[in-house]
Amino acid sequence: MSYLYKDIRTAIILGLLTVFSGCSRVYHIAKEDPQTIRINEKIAASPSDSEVESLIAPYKAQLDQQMSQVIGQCAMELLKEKPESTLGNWVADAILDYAIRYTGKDLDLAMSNYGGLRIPSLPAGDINKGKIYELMPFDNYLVVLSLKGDVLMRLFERIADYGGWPISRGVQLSIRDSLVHEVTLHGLPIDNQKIYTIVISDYVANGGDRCDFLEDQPRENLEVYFRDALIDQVMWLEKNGKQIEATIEGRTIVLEE
Amino acid sequence: MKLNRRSFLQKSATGAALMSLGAMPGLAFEGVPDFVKLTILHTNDVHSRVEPFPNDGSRNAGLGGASKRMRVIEEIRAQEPNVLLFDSGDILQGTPYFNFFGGEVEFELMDLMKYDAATIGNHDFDGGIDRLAELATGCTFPMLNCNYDFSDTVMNGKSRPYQIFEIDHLKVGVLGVGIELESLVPDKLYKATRYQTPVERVNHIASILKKDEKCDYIICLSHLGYKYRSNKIDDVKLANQSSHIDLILGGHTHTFMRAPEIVLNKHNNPVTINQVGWAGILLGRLDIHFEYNRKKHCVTCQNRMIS
Repeated sequence: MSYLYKDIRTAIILGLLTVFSGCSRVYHIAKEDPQTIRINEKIAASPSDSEVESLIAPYKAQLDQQMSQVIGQCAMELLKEKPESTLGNWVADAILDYAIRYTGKDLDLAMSNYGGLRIPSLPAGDINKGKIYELMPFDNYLVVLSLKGDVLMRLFERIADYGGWPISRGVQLSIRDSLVHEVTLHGLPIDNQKIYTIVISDYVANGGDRCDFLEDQPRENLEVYFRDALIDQVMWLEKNGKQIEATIEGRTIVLEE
Repeated sequence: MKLNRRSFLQKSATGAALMSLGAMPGLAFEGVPDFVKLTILHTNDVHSRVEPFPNDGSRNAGLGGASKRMRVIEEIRAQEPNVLLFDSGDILQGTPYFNFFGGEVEFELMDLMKYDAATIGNHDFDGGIDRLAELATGCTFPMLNCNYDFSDTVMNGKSRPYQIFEIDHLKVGVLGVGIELESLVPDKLYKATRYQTPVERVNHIASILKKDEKCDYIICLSHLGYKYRSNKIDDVKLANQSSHIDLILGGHTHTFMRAPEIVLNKHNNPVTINQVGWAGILLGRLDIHFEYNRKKHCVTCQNRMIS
């Protein structure tokens, strides 16, 4: 950069020598000092804080109140565990159901990275909006990937290596030695030539959690946050007289080594 | 690598010429100071991050937030005479503050922080163009964009292509440019907004700022994105194909640049590009020292050496 820059500077100065041969006064850029300031806890308090805080306060109070809005019921405590869990099963089914409703298409399956779920359990009883924000605080969007069977198999291998991710109904995945032992969708093996539609977060689709092979795959952006899809699903269940529930059904199992 | 002026003069073919022209700063003239220091502060893609990231052990925990940003800005304003504060778009979307209040909090905070101008990002359409028009009408700073034709929308007359700031006889022209909305933003949100090719529009406006308005320094607030491998227009390509633009303050790609990048425009003049990540984690600062004289050259010039 600096070496290139010498040439640039020479060019500028030569340029200025030729251009500004008249006698009108002009501004020359003598020096540029760039700097980046990190907005962190080291920044000391100041009187201006109260001005900002008092502007925010009424909104924050209202927001906290909104977050306490009960949007549905959870029939039982759902746990987040590996290789399969009730919370994982519910989340994966929820985004699949949402995406099918939203797109009107018959989509094949849904999954989430394990780290995407941020609470160890969803309590039984009233579920408020804030709880769903805790479950899924990230501003990740849902996308529908269209993957050929062989690419989907790479994704299953990744999941096997991670020891299991939340996966939607119909999948039966067995893992041995962190590798896929067998996987079926609705009882059928994965066809390498067939195209499967998968609902997933843009975080994973963009290559997150070592899934870089998904980056250039054909996709449809649903333009909805993962979290908002979950909120929508909870409200949809409530509207239809249902509760949040899930069971362990052998979607993912780890075989003895 | 840092290159000091002495070594530059020794190595450069123009060194001798510069020396012989008698590089002495002139006295203050016509009431205009010989030197002007302009301090540019900027943010991009703040995405409704009103409060700092929550302390939940995640990567950005405790970072950002309007309160601390305000402290830093106030502190700099107390120290520096000529401060301009800009935002390069995507003010909105990303926390419940936007979902629940539609951008009111974000824009009120920017008023309080005395932003001088902002451009329009794709997510600023997320509340719909009607909402954007309300926000743009209510705020104290201008929303700048030169390549969205809003004439058949409610945004007509609510944004302007450029704004000029005069500081100690130094004229700073600022324009805004936005990304293609089709396939990025649902069309029901941007309605009849017509996207126009950035390079042509930016060069047209920059030419007005330079030739008609006689601006000394021209800044482009861009929401095009820093750099793409594809042929999609970005800040680097825009800089390469531009005339008269001195500085591009970018956004959209949430790029944490380690330092500003300098690229050459179509006349081989340098254009500085900077972008400061997202969410208000960083505040960008660029101090530019201008020398005002009748001379053919700049006496104290270190011509945009980025150390």
